[in-house]
Amino acid sequence: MSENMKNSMSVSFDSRSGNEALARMVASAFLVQADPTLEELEDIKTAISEAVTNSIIHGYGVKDQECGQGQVLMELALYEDCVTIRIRDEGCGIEDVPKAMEAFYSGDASGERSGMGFTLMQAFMSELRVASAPGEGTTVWMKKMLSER
Amino acid sequence: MEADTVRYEVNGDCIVIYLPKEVDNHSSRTIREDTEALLAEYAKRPIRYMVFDFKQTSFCDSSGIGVILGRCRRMRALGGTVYVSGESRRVERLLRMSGVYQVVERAEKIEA
Repeated sequence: MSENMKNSMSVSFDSRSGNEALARMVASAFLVQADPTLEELEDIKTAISEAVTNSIIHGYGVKDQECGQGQVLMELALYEDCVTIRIRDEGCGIEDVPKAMEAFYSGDASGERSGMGFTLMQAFMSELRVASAPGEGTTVWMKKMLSER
Repeated sequence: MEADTVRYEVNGDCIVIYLPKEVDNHSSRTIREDTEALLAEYAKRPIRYMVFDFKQTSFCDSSGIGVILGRCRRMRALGGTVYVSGESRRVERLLRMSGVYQVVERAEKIEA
């Protein structure tokens, strides 16, 4: 635990698509105390939605029955000038992380996915790190600098 | 109209899809399934124009982009065109970043 951390929270929920909105709402409620700008808040909500959706549809997606349903963990930590967010799943993991992060690439071949998830996380957040391996789940770590209010 | 409902309006050869407040993976699934069902139902007309109306939408992520790009592909196969209208500045930025404006028309002048 860092000394200058002001507050932190964690929440864990089922990998159901209805919980994408829950994750955005919980994060928004937690961030009220930081008084972010509307744009900062929208950037964070979008990035969280992308990461949580990835966990639900790819991590625990139906293509690998063994992964099936699982829990998605979301942790937020608030500092003086930034917020950090960690999204963790115990799903099937990503074989080729750089490939998965390419714009317009999707692991889903249905043609119904834009392949923009990681690209938007990268565009809207100040830092993004992805740790994943097949069978070992995926952890997305993001940081957003908050302007001085 | 409730914030989380999607409304569909078919007028002749045009379908207007009034998107919900939040267009994410969860609501995208409903939009995709309903739209496909309507295209099948009106297959004999057939529908030539599809308009995505974002007027009620304050949140959209890449899943929303996916459902639009998917419908573009479907409509192109049917010889039709997809339009978007009523985007907020935020949604407009997202559509631009994702290259959506390269494959859809903007529908300011279309009477929905």
